[in-house]
Amino acid sequence: MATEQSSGRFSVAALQKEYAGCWVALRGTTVIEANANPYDLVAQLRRRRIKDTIILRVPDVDELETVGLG
Amino acid sequence: MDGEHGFPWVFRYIEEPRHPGSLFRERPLLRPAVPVTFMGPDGPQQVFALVDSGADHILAAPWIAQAVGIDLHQAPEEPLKVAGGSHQVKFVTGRLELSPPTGTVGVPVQWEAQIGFFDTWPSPSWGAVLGQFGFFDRFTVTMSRQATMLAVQDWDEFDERFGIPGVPPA
Repeated sequence: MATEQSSGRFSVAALQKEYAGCWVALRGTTVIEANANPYDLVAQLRRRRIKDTIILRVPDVDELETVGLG
Repeated sequence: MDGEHGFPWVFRYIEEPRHPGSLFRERPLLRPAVPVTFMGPDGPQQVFALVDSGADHILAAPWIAQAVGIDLHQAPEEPLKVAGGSHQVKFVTGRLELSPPTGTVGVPVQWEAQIGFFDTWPSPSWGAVLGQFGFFDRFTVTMSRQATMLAVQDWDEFDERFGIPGVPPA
């Protein structure tokens, strides 16, 4: 899945249609695993012996904008 | 280019989705964030981390500690207030790694820092916050909202740029 726009900027927004509310593990711009629970996501990755991903959360569609850690 | 690390490292802001009813939906929601790797006995885990000049600490989601095998049971605890309430935060000394952005040749930087792991994470897109103590005292960070990029350089770059006698990081 492409998550970079023509600007070269990484876009979490591009992941929202498919992964809203989920934590996702990416290798490059490809989603390797996704789960609503980050502990379960890490367990999935460990079971598959995957250690080279970057993890982030995709906000839900109706989620309000986060200010700082609020 | 600066030394073996090849500074400056220039990272693009990341784009987050806005609420569909937002007053500001016509402009993208952009954050200064970098990929940072937490190191631990069970291996590394990389997450996006918000670069937050207003934060005093490096703060992280609790699942990261479990993912890399950092034991928090004996860690001293400090309540911290963030918007929306207070959280218990357990502080440990951990190891972090920052790698150059894609397309930049350079050796990754590893450093030790005090990291505060929340009891519950408010669940923004990023898994950690990089604040003044542990990040801004290790690097010179320059942000441009116009360019929507941030540049990371060695800690003494600021001092050289402005002719200020440097104080090495602790």
